[in-house]
Amino acid sequence: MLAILRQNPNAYGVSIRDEIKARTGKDYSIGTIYAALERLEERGYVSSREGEATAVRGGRRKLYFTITGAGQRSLSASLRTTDALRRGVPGAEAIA
Amino acid sequence: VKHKTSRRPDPTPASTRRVPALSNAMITKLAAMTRSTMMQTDVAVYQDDLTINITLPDEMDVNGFSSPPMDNSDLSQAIFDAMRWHEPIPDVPPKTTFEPPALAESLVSLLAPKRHRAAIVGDLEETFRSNLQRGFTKQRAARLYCVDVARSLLPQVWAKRLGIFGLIAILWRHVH
Repeated sequence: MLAILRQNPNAYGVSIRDEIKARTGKDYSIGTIYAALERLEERGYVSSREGEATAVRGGRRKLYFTITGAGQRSLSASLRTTDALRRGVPGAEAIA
Repeated sequence: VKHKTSRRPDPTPASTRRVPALSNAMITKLAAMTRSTMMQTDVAVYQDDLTINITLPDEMDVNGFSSPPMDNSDLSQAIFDAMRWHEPIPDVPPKTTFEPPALAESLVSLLAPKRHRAAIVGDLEETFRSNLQRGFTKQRAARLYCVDVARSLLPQVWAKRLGIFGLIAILWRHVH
């Protein structure tokens, strides 16, 4: 979801995967990315819209993803929880 | 004003090099330039010896060549373009359109979730072409495509708990 936010409004399969790879070094497959996106979409955290078709995609349309209001609230809550759990942990600088 | 250049000796046999003729657009551009600068004479381009003759009216001296209304930079660019057109262009192999491996693409089309099928196939193809543009050989790009397809399908297959018989059933449904 953070990768979608970073790529907004140009978040689609390839750009999301490249963003994750650039930030974390983990190379997920397109199928894995879409499997996660499908689950997020089912929960109403992200929405998708069809974009333009380009020649390099064999004339197929891109599918752009954006975070919904519910997704933003959930993401904020999740980040707050992570921060709260990290705060005060002995040796926190080691996991900062 | 006579601007003469000599062609560099070209060791390539004439039969194997391509020297494109001056395009009509280039001739039109040069002709329009002479008109717009009130030049009454012509611009003649001799393709054989690459001599470019630009003759100014008698009342316009050489200094007028670089002063308004003549746009010297445009004229220089036109001459440069004209000469560049006469540069021998090395023969390059025609561009070939490479396509992703058909079998792998068919597998994705069959097994990817219906809702995101077109997007997944499109993303995989975009990655394939991006790899080709990065200078990967066709074989390497195709191998990476197949690996990407396998890695993309495994989560789907696992999520559906298809198993080998499920896969065969899906393939059978699409074939018949």
